[in-house]
Amino acid sequence: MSLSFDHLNLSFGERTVLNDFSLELPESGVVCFFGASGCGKTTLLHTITSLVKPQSGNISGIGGKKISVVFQEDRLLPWISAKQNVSVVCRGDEKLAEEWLQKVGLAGEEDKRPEQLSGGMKRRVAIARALAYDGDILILDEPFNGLDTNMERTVISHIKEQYTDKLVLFITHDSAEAAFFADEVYLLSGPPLFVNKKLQFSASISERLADSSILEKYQASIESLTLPKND
Amino acid sequence: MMPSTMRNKNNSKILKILVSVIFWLAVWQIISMIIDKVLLVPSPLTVLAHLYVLLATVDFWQITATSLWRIMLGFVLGTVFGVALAVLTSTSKIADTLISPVVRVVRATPVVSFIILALVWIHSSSLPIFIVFLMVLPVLWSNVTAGIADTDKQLLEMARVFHIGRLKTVMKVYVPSVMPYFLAACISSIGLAWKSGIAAEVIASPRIAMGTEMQNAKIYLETPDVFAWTIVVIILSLIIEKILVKLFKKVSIKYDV
Repeated sequence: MSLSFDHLNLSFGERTVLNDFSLELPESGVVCFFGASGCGKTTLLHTITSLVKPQSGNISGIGGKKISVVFQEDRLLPWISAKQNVSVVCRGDEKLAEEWLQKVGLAGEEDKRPEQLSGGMKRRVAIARALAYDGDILILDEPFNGLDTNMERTVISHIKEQYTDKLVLFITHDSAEAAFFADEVYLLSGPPLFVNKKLQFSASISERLADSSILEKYQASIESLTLPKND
Repeated sequence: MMPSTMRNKNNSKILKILVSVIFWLAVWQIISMIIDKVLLVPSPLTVLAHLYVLLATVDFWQITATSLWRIMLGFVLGTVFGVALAVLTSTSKIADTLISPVVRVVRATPVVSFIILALVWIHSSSLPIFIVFLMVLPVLWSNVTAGIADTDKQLLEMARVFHIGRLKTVMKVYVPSVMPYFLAACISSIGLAWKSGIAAEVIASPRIAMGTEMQNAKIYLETPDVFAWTIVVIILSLIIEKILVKLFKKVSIKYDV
C-alpha cells in the first residue's frame, strides 16, 4: 500500500503549515521534496513519524512500517561512540554497525565520540544509523550537508542499492543533489505547503553517471522552475 | 616533563593551604591571648591537647562512627528518595501537582523547625537520620527534575522514531543527561547533610552522638571540647566530600560530563 496524505490540516498558532494537503506517493523510488526552507516540508515528513500530529486528516500506508530517518540535525548521543550510536538502533548489533560505518567511509573512526568527529563525519554516522535500522521507508532531511561530492555519491549508491523496492523521501535545497538522486521531484511552496510542479527523472544512476548531459538537463529543469521570484 | 610539573603544581597547592592554615592559627592564638579566657576562646594548643585526649579514647571512635553512619544513611536515603520522587513528578502530572509543592515547602522550612517537631514523633537516635533525609531530598529532587526537563528533546524524538525502547531510552538518553545534575546535587548536599545532622544531634541528644558530646561540653563549660569536636566534624566533612568528588570523577569520565 502506497503512502498517502489525505486532507491534512496543521497549524502552529497563527501559522498554517498544512491546509487541506493531500498527496499520494509511489510505492518505491526516491521522491525528492524540493523547496525553500520554511515551506513546511520537514513538518510534513515529521507527520509520517508521528513526531508532529496533524490537527485533522489522515496518513495511510504507514501502518506497521519501520521508518528510518536522517534528521536535519545529526541527533547523535554525545556520550557514546559512533559505533554505539549506530548499534543502539539495531539491538546492539556492533558487527552491523561497523559494516555500515565502513560503507560510509568511517572505517577506523568507529570508537570515536561525536565530538571527536568533523561535521561531515557526524552526518555520515547519522546516515549509517538510519541505514542500519533498515526501515521500510527512509526519510532523509538534507542528509548530505558537509559531504563532498564523491562521498555523497558513494552514500547515494548504497542507499539506492538497499532501497531499490522501497520508498525514499528526500528533502534538499540542492538542485545537483536532486538531479543525481531523485526519481521524482516535487517542487514545493508554502506555507501553507502545496505542490507547484512534479518532475519525473527516469534515467538510472549509472546512466546519469555515464552521461553528464542527463544530469545537466535534470538540474536545469529544476532550476528553471524555481527561479527566484521577487514577490 | 609532565609528572614534575604536576608535582610542582601539587606542591604549590599544598604550600598555599599550609600558609593559610598557619596564618589563621596565628590569628586564633593572638585572639585567645588577648581575651585570655579558656572558657570563651581556648588557644589552638589547648584545643589540640583536648583533641589528642579525645582521639585516645575508645568512646571517641564509637561516637564518631555512629554519627557518621547516621548521617550517611540519611544522605543515601535522601538521595534515593529524591531521585525517585523526581522521576515520579516528572512522569506523572498528578504526582507533580500533589508532591512538588510539598517538597518546595520542605526545602523552605528552617531545619530547626523540623528538628523540634520531629523530636515529638521520632526516637532521638533516629532523628538525625530523618533530618538529614529531609535536607538532602529536596536538593536531589530539584536538581534531578531540572536535569530530566533539560534532556534534549531532539534526542528523545530520535529514540522514539528508532523504537529504541523505554529502558534503553532511560539508560542511553536520560541517565547521561541527568548525571551532571545528580552529581552536583550530591556534592552540594553532603555538606548540608553534615551540618543538619550534627545540629539535629545537638538538639535531640541521642545517647551516642557527636552532637550530644558538643552539647554536653557546652553545658559543662568545656569550650575546648566544643572546638575539638567541631574540628573533627569539619575534617570528616571535608574528607567525605573529597571521596565523593573522586568517586564522581570516575562516573563523570564514563558519561563524558
